[in-house]
Amino acid sequence: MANHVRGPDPLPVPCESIMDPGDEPSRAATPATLTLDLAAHEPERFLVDVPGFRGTLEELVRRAHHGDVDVTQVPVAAITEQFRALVESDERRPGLDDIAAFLTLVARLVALKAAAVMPDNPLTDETDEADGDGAIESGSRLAEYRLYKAAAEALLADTAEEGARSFLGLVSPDVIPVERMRIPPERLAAAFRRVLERLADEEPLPVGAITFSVAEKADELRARLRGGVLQFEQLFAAVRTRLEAVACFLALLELLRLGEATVEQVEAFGPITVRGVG
Amino acid sequence: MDDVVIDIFGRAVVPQSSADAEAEDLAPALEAVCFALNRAVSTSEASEILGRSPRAVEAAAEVLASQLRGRGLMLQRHAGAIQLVTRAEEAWAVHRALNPERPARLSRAAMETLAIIAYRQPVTRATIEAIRGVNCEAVLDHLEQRALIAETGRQDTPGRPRLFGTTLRFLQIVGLESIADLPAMPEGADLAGLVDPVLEP
Repeated sequence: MANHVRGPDPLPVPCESIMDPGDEPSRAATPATLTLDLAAHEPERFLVDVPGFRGTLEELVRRAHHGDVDVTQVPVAAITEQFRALVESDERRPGLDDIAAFLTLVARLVALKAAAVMPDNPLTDETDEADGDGAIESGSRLAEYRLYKAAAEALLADTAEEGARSFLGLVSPDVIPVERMRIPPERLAAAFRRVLERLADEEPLPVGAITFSVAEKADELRARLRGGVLQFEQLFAAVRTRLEAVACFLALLELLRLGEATVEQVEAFGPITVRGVG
Repeated sequence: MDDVVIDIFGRAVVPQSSADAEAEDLAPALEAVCFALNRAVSTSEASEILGRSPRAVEAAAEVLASQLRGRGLMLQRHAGAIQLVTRAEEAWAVHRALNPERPARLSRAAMETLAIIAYRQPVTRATIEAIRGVNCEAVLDHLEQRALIAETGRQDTPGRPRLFGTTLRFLQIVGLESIADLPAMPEGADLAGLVDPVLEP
């Protein structure tokens, strides 16, 4: 079973790009990239070369899943033979993780092919996607995928264009310290000044070489706070430049403003703790 | 104090009408707390603040949500927490007032994944990947970092895979009061019965 092959740890099976590359349909979007790290220091892709398709195995599975490739015509045995030859070769021998990734993908391909050749359960439908409301084959995963794709479009397309549709209120600044900042602002500022002083001797980076986004830092901080309470100093443990420190500090202030974090110093000169809310 | 009726077993029972009246009484206080805290409030936290039972708070939330219909605010409810937010229909006005920074856009992969989670929650990564046909690890990490999804528990199967569900932040983004308000999927879509033959034997 592929489940067993996959194991609990994530495999180097390729992932899609996360950020939106634009408005082009997903079919035209950057295909999932299969990077089988065949040699430790020389990442290389295992390319499938069979009649009707040449490219990565991940791309083949993706296309087969979407019905873009007639999976019934894909010789799975030829693919496994190609990979086996690679495994048995002395050069560029794939690692165990790569083999596991291959098995997962090829198992999925076999399942897709099996589903497609079953006369009572056609996987692909002949409807052009552009037609929109094509006949939906209940029971096929392709149909299910299309349902969710349509649901995503209906639910989130406007949001993607226009941003959030409902908002929490804004808390006036004089309320924030009481509710979320249980430390005098000047003491927090002093703590941050000490962080900047620690970074003062760093080599300056060329202008424009690296930029930091407060939004990204806020996302990182959210994720870290989900793991538990942090000391103020820990926020800057991996920070190497003043610019990055400023981005981190602004991210903290942003989370305070949004009510997603609290800062507290129980006793004067004691540790300053930052914790997530909710 | 509410009228108490003794039932046939000799137990004191608060009549439904009294419970309703309590919820009506509590709703304004709950509204005030949500407004003042200006963040998500769990039922247990509200219960502690208001000195009433969690059940009474839930009933008050139901009343408040209903009272707010037709107003500029709405009460979002999800996974035992509530928050008072501006109503989605009035987003245009709020956008004009705040000119908020637009968050980084979601990719189509992220939107599809989010839709699958929204409709099938709680759901495992394996099920999502079976539907989408590709690895979704990075997309799930990204959605989790943006607080649009969260782990809701573990599935009681070998490996105890994580189960994912949407969050209040997700409701805020799409402008819904609760998950129950998601648009219906097309008729005849028997999604619950569809599983991946590879990943979910």
